[in-house]
Amino acid sequence: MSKEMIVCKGISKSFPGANGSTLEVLKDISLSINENEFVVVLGPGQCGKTTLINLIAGLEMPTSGNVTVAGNPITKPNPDIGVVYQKTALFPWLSVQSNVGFGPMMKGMKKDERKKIVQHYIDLVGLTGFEKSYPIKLSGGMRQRVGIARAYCNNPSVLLMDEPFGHLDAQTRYLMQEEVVRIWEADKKTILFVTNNVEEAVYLADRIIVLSNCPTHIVTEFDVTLPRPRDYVSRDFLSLRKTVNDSLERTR
Amino acid sequence: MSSRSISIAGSRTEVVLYAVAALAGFFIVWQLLVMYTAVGMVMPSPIEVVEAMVASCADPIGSKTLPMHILFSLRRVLIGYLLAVLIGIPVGILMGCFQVGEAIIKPVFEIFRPIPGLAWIPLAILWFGIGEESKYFIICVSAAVSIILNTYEGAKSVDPTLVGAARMLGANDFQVFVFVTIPSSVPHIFAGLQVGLSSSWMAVIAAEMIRSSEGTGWIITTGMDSGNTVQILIGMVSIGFIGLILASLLRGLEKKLCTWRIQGR
Ligand SMILES: Nc1ncnc2c1ncn2[C@@H]1O[C@H](COP(=O)(O)OP(=O)(O)OP(=O)(O)O)[C@@H](O)[C@H]1O
Ligand SMILES: [Mg+2]
Repeated sequence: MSKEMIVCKGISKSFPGANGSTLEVLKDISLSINENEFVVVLGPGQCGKTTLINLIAGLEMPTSGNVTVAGNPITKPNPDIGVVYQKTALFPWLSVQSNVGFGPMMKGMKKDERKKIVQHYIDLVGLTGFEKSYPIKLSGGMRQRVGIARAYCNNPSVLLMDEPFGHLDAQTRYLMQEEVVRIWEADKKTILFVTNNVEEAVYLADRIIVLSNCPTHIVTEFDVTLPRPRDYVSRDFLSLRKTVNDSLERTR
Repeated sequence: MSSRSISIAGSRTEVVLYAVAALAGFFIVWQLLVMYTAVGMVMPSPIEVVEAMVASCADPIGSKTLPMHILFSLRRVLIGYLLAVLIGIPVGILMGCFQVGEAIIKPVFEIFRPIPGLAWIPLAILWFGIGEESKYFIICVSAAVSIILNTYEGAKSVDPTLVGAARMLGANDFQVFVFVTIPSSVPHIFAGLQVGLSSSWMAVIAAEMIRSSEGTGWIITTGMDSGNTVQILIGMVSIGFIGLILASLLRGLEKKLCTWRIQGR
């Protein structure tokens, strides 16, 4: 039996709302993700996807319930977990190579050693030649590549990706979806990928977890067994896409 | 893309050309006004001023030549300003990064903030006498306010997502401070340094006009006492040029340290 890498047990999260009320965002979410599994969490806009990521990352604490990653309870930010952000969150004052090498540098890794693995991940995400560029000079797709390389380079055992392609144009988005599968197949990690895009979910996932609107709970799950690389317009793809789509609540 | 002014003057060379033309136009109009109108009775022409400036590099005004006067003013500014930088940046960071620091320093700072540096002149003279120390003090106080304020705002406006990202990559509190808080405050700090520099340049002139025996401010005051408009203008033109040079030097340094903010390929 494969190892459980991310386990959420009955987590709920409320924020203090306006005039003393509480805003219940997540409500009793339980999920478990196996080692090297690619799970997509699919939910409508503003349903609490980023909140879920923050809870698993240890950037915020659940109101109730608990999270473990690789068997360890999460109580604070943990470098064993990599995060790729919705709005890239690159350090604008650092070049591509310094952004990618940030994690190893914090660990105090020697410069020569660091240089080697940084280059490895820059090559892996296809940014060879842009090592010295600053983020401001890169396109949206390239910035996300840096974000992915930065997370990988810290060698986490799980990777949380928060709508990383939400701000990209359609063409770049397709390209990046292919890339993420390619990178994952080259360097296997447990991935939890969040999106509100059904097509993206069906293209990427081993398993899709569908969320409801706020207060958010898990509606249903789909196992995706289509062989990779997947074809966006094959019959099986389209019919699964329709099934998943029908399970999704619409906002407004 | 970032806000750019509408480019009528397109390339860099064009910008320089426009600047040169505007300055030339200004001096020509000044020259013509002096030559053909009543302005000539109260103002010397730019040619006279430039000639006098060149001459005063050899013949002293009072006891010193013009370059020496300028060096005296510059030394006062640099000492006062460096003091302000050394005090201002740490205080701003203390206020911006630590809640205790903010709670303690901010209320005190808010009282001092509206007091212009020049209002400190009388106290400075009572405390430090009429020597150099009182001038350093006035310059330092004048410059420190905007340096503190901008540094504080910079340290305060660090993007919490970036702090989170650094923590997720294993940074501890100290590393977050060094590798995230400080670099992301640098552009704000430079804004403060720029405003602080022009305040300290203004403060030295005012301090010298009140009490001194050399410096650009002194040139202006003694010019006024003896009704010598040429000498007044020598002082004013020198102030303008030196101020411009100081600001450009600082801007050059900023450009070097902040290449990451420059857009375009
Ligand atoms: N720190 C916070 N304090 C108060 N409310 C918050 C906080 N963080 C999130 N919320 C609220 O929780 C809800 C869910 O936010 P969240 O960002 O997790 O949603 P999301 O699904 O990621 O949205 P999007 O589709 O825009 O990325 C929103 O209504 C938001 O206003
Ligand atoms: Mg979000």
